[in-house]
Amino acid sequence: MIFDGAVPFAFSVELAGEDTSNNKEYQLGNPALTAGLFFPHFFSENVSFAYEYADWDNGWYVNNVYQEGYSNEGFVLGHWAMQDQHNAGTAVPGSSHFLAAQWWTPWNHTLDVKLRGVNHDSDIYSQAWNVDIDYFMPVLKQSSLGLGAYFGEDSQKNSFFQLRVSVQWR
Amino acid sequence: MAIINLRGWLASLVVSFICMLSISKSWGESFYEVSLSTGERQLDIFRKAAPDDVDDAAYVGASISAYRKVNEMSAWGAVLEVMMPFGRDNEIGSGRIVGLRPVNYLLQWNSNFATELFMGAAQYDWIKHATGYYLGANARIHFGDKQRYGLGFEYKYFQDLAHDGGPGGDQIIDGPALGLQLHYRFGQ
Repeated sequence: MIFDGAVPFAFSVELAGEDTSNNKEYQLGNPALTAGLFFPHFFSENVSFAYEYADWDNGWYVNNVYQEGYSNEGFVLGHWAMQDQHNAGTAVPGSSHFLAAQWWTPWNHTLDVKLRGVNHDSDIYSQAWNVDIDYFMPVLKQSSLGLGAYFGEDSQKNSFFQLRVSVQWR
Repeated sequence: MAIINLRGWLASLVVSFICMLSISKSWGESFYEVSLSTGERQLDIFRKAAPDDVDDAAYVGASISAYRKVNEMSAWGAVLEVMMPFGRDNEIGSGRIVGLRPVNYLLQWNSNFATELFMGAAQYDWIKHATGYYLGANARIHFGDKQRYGLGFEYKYFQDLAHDGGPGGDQIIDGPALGLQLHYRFGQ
């Protein structure tokens, strides 16, 4: 739902079931709840901000009814927070937080920051987090050069770090 | 099968209607409300292979709402609310209920009296988080400067709040809540 005003924003809610309960099609089984806020102009015309919270029961993306889940070649196409669970094949309840902000600078560059955190209600997995940062600057005509970094720790306590350079053109 | 198809068709119709309203250019200003509430909620816990359980408790609640006017008489809104029970020390979990309501229709009958119908998703803290839907209504009398204050009562029904596993299989929680509310409106 979209709201205007001095600080316009959009609010979204999603209630989903991975299965049914008690074989009744109207009773969602292993439910997941996701809610989000998006501010296209977060107290400034040049800043946007988004937050999304998700909470889920067990079984997502590993249920033996459809073991591949909603995935393609092992990559979960649904919620980003359950990739580690899908890889390990044991899905436990958990919750996640996602923050994203974008700043269009006065000198026509763009800074894009995303923070993600996952909590699993089980000793099988540990807390996971990652940070994804991109900085884009215009080069030549209608092209932009991007510098990015992606780092964090997954739910198996493996740290990772990635640097990237990208070029976008039209 | 026909019933299932009819349900799907009706759901599509409702969603289409809401989407149509949400992109209407005739929508105008937004306003906001904060509310405090207290009352009683009775939650019945059903399982396939274990005795049913009941979690009755008084509660205090708080909510924050945003509304967008359709016209001077009505508005669509979104609400986030939390209901905390008290006096249930021997029960499982905290008993907290979090409600997220993307569908709220507020109808202002006159400057003093308004009613609201709503539905959304709710999460109840039992053995694990049990999640499902709920719907309800409230009626309030507004008073004070610019009718900012409101006093009302509300009824909600929680339906199919579920979580996987537990004693006796999946836990399915249903039940009503009835309470009094105090509203404060701002931003208009």
